[in-house]
Amino acid sequence: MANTYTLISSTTLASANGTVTISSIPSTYSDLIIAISARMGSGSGTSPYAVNITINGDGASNYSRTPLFTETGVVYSLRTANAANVLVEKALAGPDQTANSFSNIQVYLPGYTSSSSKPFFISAGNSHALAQNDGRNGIHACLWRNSATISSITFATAGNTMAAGSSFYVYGIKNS
Amino acid sequence: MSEILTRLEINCETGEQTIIPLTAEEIAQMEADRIAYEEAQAAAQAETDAKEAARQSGIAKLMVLGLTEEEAQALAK
Repeated sequence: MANTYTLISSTTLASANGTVTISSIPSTYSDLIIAISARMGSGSGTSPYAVNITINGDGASNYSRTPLFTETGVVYSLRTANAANVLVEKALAGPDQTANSFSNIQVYLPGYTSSSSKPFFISAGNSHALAQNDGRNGIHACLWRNSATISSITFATAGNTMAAGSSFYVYGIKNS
Repeated sequence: MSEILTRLEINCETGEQTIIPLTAEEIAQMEADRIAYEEAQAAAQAETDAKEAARQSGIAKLMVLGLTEEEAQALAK
């Protein structure tokens, strides 16, 4: 059981950015947790609400994901294999939703220095929708098939931005 | 889109934060991601709609056999 959390990095966006990369992550911990509070920027392109995650800049077909996803009245699951990133659908509050409401996304990466493939887990949700009059939640079991230590993670919107005020906290966890 | 898309790089080792304009290649990738996302969402929605249509059809057929709507709904859950 993890018993120590150390804050590695904390950032709140001063302006909207299409992509956020957390780099030079130290390899001195057992696990990583990235806690994100984010919202899409307004007035920029379409609104797919999604976040794409890539690790160590790897855009090859090394990612898989099995989500269990709900939005009001609908529950579904699917399987994505051999993808070029992990696409977390409907994870972000959009510009057409309640003003100043932010979604919560947590990425848990156990054994991120392991030389084996890296399973990781994402939970995401927002319940502040206005125009859609709904809430959205998703849990996503993911895998990155690569033996390298995770040293950087990139969060990107699909053709949009993350709004000013979005925050990214990176914690390292030691098991002893 | 008219605004300049940027990437924020946060260096955990130095604490330095750098804002970098996205390259044309990166912007093209984001657009490709958006299209892929919308196609995946449309496919998922179509599958959900088809399942619900089949469920409603089943309920209607059960009611023809003499079940109440409540009974048919319970069986079709």
